[in-house]
Amino acid sequence: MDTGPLLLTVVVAAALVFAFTNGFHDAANAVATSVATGALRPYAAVGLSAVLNFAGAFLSLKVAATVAEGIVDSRVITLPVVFAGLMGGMLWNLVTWYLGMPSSSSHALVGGLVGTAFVAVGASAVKGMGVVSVVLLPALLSPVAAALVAGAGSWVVRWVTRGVPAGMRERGFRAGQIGSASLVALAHGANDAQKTMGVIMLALVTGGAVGAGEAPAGWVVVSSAAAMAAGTFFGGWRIVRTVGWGLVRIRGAEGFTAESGTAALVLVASDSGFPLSTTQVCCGSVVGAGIHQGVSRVRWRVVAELAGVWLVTLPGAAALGALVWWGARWVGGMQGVGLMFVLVLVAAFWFYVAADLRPVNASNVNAERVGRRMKWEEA
Amino acid sequence: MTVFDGEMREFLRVVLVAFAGGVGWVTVYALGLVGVSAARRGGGRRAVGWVLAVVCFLVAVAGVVVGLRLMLAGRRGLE
Repeated sequence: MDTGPLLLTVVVAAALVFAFTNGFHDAANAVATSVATGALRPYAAVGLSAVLNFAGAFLSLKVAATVAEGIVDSRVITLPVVFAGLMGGMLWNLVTWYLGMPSSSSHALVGGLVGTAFVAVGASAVKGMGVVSVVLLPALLSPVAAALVAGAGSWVVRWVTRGVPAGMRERGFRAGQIGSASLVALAHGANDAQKTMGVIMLALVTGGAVGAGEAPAGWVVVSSAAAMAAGTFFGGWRIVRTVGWGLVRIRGAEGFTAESGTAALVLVASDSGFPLSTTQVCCGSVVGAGIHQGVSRVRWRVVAELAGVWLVTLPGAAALGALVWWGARWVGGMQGVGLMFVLVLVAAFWFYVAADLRPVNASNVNAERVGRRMKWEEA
Repeated sequence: MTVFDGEMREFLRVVLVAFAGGVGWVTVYALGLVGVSAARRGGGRRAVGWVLAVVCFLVAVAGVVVGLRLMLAGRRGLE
């Protein structure tokens, strides 16, 4: 019996599950500062973000092409390799969501694919130059660039509006945050949904369903966008809390400039085909806007923890992807892939239940945090 | 020139465009707020304030629309 089509279906399903976790994990990028400043109510924020995530996916296809062709060599990898890479990225997303750490879903995906391709095929399967120039260096530079854009924007805004009464200023920028948060959601859809499209295209090329270099079909775009929008609507509140309240206590003007800086950088990068991490850009922007209030206002301990998580994201997701691949190979064939898929879904359910024991949701997302990372005070 | 140089040059272009676009956009919006503030204070600057506010907010919206249209045009080129 030819299990090729069934395997391809499972890999596409895995990609869509990854897109759901991507939306869930990265909901914070668009909504965190708006929720923290009170510009938008939590459910209104994730609803708006989900709709615009979906719309954003239709803006560009260049990042999808980069992910499909620029990270691993589709001629030498197999469908189980793509599957294991996706599962590595997804598991990393779940772990960091549970810890409330805004790590990069994009780097988790790239790390999973690279790690799995490396152990399954060897170094020849990894396009090293592509990974370094399109993923690693932008990953190091983009948070700094975002901080510069948001910091400069905050300085200009403060100077321009120095004569505006404080109350009107705060209300004006909170209103502006509805627009800037919408732009971030659009940018997130444009950049991150394309990564799922790219992996589905990689799977379709690897499985021989389409030729290399083809643009994603309509169903690929729509299903990726819908899966990510659904994930966003569920809102990863643990990360929303960290980004909105953990890095710096943000006000309307800084929230507006942070979101505008994030949107500008991610949209321009999407148009140029760079798979930037929206999460890193968002956190960099928040810190840049926060520094403008005073260096001591930024919680540098949390920033250092984030930097640590960002550094281990690629190798961590790579190791998880490799583990899934070895597991699938040990069992063998379609059964191995199916069993690992079920095990990862069980792990996802376990994380969900464990997180529910100490819930962070729309009702307590703006509660004061106490102490370090996960020591939240309930609302 | 290597591929690596080309990608980094492109990334620097991305940062510069984003810097100009991001800072420019928030500046225009902030100027709109200054206009609203002046208009609400009344006096001789009321009309000027409203004109400034309307022009700046329109420019901000137009900037977003033009940017998104450029992205869509780039997408059509790939299809």
